[in-house]
Amino acid sequence: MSKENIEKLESALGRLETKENVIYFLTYDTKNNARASVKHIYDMALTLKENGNVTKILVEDKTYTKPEWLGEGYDQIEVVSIKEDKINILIDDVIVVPEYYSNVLQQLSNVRCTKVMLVQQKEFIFETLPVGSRWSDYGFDRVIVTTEEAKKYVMEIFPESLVHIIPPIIGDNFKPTEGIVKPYVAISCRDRVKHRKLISEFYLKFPHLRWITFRDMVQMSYEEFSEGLKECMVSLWVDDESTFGTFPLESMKCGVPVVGKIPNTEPDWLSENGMWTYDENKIVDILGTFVLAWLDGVELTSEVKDKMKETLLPYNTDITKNNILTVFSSFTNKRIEALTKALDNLKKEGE
Amino acid sequence: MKNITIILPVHRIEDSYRVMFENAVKSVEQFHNDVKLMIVCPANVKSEFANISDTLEVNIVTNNTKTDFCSQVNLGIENCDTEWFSILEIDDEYKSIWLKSINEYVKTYNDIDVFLPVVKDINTEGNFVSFTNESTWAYGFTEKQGVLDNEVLLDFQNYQISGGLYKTQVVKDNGSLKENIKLTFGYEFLLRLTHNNVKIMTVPRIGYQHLNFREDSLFWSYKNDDTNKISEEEAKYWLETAKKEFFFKNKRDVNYEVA
Repeated sequence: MSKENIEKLESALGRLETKENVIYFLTYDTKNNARASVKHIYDMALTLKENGNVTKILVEDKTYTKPEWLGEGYDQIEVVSIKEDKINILIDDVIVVPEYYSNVLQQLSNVRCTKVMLVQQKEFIFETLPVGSRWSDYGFDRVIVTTEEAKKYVMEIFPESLVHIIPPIIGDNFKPTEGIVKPYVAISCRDRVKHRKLISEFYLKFPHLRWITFRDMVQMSYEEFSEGLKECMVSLWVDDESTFGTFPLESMKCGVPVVGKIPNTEPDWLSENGMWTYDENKIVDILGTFVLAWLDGVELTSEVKDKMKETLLPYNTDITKNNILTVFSSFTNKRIEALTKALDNLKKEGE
Repeated sequence: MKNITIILPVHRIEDSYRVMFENAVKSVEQFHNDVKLMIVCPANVKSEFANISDTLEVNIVTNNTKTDFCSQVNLGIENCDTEWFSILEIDDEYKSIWLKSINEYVKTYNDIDVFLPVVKDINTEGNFVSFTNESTWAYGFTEKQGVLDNEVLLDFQNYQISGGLYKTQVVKDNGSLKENIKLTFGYEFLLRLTHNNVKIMTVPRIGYQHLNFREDSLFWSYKNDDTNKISEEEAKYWLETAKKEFFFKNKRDVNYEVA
């Protein structure tokens, strides 16, 4: 038994050294609708894969729709299904589980790999987590979050966790247009009722601006999304539940000013980099004022433009990719350390 | 090299006209490095325009025949030697964004021959009344957002020709304004251009300010002056006339007022 265990540990350590261990990312099916949270998962998987790691997207079943909206490159990541593919997760593997999958933690409690929770939407943490239980009850003692604010929150609730921050990559296809900015408002609003209300209210309050087009930034491929966004004169963002705020950052990277309602959880990057309000009732007035000023040729002040650029610095692709590699390499190192220790103990016992 | 001529037709210069004229010229002065000003006027007022601007290159064209708006503009176009021209009415003004925004569009859309600005219509108190030319940008209004087409024009007449930037040769090739068409000469002009596949686009910036229904203006007289007043029926007639006449390059020898 001891010899068998020693062999298992030695082979696990060998796989870790040669990066043959698998990093699984549990992912939900967006039915080919673009979702920033899923893109973040794919970005982590792709970055690790490009660095020589074995990464796999783990899905519930084979009905999973491949996210073609992500564009080229992402299809090289293997997708495996829990139901059909009979996954054998080994002790040297890593599994990353998003917070909305807290209901599967129980099933994973006997799996002895490195277990990581991924928190992008802190409101979902308790949605399916059994009352009173904690992630560490199921062996999930590492957490990846996207913001400093979320880290503080997780540390308060689960102080035993080791929390790492990996913000999403704001892709390089978001850049200012080389063409002409058009009289379009890019609108991103999680609540569709609110979305309609904002547009109706705008046209009623500013009837002479009924010719201004609202561009609904949903159901687009990532490429269409970035192309569509960069030619808008302004972005409108209302999403109370957002904990990171990818859309405003993507807008800023395109040089598109943002009019936004500050969400319940203030983004880490919030500063004088846009036209922000806590009061939803003021959003339409701010937007109307901005649109009229734009039509008159008023430019954003250089201070705001500088702030927008400054805001984006930490979300640079290279910085975030390095961050991803560092965090996952720390998981590997920790695992090597633990397995080596266990192996030494077994060997000592055998002597 | 200056490749835009601003054509400013003037038929009188006394009293309030002088103030309006000065404001109009001042609005052109902000573009003095890039545009020339051409004043088209009757001989009797020519002397009024000596030394009107320290910065502008000014060319004064004397009109010895008809001094109505269309004839004055046509004479300006005939004398225009730049690639582009624009029409400025005496009671109107260019806004500061006009040249910059139009230049951006000229560089980007080199298949377009006419660029209309969004026109801000104001009343005599200077208050905002409405926008004109903006509707081409309304989603689904025209076949291509921002571009005015003949089909839309046939149903929707509210477009303003003053303040637009026109390719001189294109207008010379397609004919200029028809002074024998009352009220709807601008509409007929745009119908003709679009019918002849001249591409017209609106630049979505407020580049031009137009004073609406100034007392004793041409359109004011059509509405209020006892001798010039146009009835609703007559207005319809002129609309229909424009729709019939745009097939012809030049004005036909028809005295519509008698017909």
